[in-house]
Amino acid sequence: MNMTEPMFLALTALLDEPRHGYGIVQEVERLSEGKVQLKIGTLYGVLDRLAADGLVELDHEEVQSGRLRRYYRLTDAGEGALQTEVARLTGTLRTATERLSARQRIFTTRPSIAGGSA
Amino acid sequence: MTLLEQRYRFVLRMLPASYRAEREEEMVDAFLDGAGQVRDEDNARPSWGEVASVAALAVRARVSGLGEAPRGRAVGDALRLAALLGLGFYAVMGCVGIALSLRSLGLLGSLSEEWLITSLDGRIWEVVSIAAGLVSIAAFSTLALGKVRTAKALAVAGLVYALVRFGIDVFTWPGPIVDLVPSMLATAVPVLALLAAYHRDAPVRRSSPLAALPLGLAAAYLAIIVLGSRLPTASPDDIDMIWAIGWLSPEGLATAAVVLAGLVCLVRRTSPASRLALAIVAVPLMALRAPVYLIGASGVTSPLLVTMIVQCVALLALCVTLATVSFRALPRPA
Repeated sequence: MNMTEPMFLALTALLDEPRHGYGIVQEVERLSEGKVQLKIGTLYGVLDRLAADGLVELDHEEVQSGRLRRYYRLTDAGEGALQTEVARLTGTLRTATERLSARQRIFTTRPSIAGGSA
Repeated sequence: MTLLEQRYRFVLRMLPASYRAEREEEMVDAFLDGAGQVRDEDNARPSWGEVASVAALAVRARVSGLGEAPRGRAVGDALRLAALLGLGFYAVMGCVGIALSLRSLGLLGSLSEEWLITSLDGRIWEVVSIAAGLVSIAAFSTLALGKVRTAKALAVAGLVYALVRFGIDVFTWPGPIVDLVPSMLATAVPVLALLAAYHRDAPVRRSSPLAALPLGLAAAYLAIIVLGSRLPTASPDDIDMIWAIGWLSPEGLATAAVVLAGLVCLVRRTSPASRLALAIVAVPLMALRAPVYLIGASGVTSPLLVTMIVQCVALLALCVTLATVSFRALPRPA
C-alpha cells in the first residue's frame, strides 16, 4: 500500500489513544509542527482508506451537545503498517544522512577552488 | 442550528446520500469543533479549502473503487473503462498520425515530391504532431501497465497541447469556431474520466498486451489503407468512394465498433458498468461524427454528410438506450 503523509500522520496520531475526527486533526497538526492541517473532507477520505484496509476501526461513539462523535483506534494491522512505513522511512533517512555526511567530508577535505586569483 | 452549521451541511450535500447517512453527523461535529465559537452575526462560511476537500471526497465516493457502495463502484468501473477506451482510440490515432507525418516528411515509404512537406513551418508542425502522438500512445500504454500517475500526467499534457492548438485555431480557422468544439470535447472527455475515476483507491489492472494493442490496431488500419490505395484509383466524384470514407476513417471505424459492441452488450446483458462505459464513449464519438463543418455543403460531400448523420443518430440511439438500461440495472443507493 502506498502510504501518504496524511495517512501516516493519522495512524501516528492514533498510536497512544483512540481519537475522534477533530482530535485526529489537532494531533496531526501538532505532530507535523503545523505543516499538515487536514481539512475535514480530506480527513474522512483518509479514514475511509485506512478503515477499508483494516488499519483503523471504530472504538466507541459518544453524543456531545447533541452531536455524534466517533472515536477511532489503531488496529494490529495498522500498527504493523506503521512499523513497516517507519522502517522504510528510517532506511531512507539513514541513506540521506550518510550521503550528506559524505558530501560534507568531500567539501571539507577538497582544496578550495573558490576565490579566483585575487 | 447555527448559520455556519447550515452552510456546512449544505456543502455536505455534494456527498452521496448513503455516505451522508453514515458520516454527516461526525463530519459536522469535527468541522464545528475546528471552527470554534462562531456567532451568526459573523456570517461565517466554510473555507474554500473545506469545500474543495468535501468535493474531492464526493468525487471519490461517487466513482469509488474499494470498500465503497456498489453503485459508486459500478459508476467508477464505467468511467475507468470509458477512459481506457477513449485514450486507446487516441493512441491508435497517434500511431496512425505518426506514420502519416513521417510519410509527409519523406521518412517513411515513398511519396511523390508534390505531397512532401518541405516548408520549415510545415515540418515543425509535423514534428510537434509526432510528439503529441507519442504522448497519446504513452498515456494509454502507461495506464494499461498500471502506472496511473504517469498516465494522468501524459494525458493532461496531451489535453494542454490540444487546448493550445484550439486556441491557435480559434484565431486562424477560416470557418466558424463551432467547427472546432466537437474535437476539443472528444479530446477532453477521456482525460476527465481518467482524472475522476482513477483515484488512489481505484482498482488498477495491468496488461502488457493491452499496452501494445494500439500499435497493432494502427498497423492493421494502415495495412487496409495501403491495400485500398492499390485498388484501381477511384474518381473523386465516385459516390461509393465518398460513402467508404465516412466508414473507413478512424472515427468511422470506431463508430462501427462502438455500435457493434453496444448491441452485443444489450443482447448479452453484460454488466451495467460496461454498458454505461459504452454510453459514455458514444458521447465524444458523436461529437467527432457531428458533421457541423459539412452543413450547407453540396456535391460530392453530400453522401459523407448523410453517412455522418446516420452515424450520429445510431450513436445517440445507442447512448440513450445503454444509459437507460444500465442506470436501471445499477445497484440501488444504500
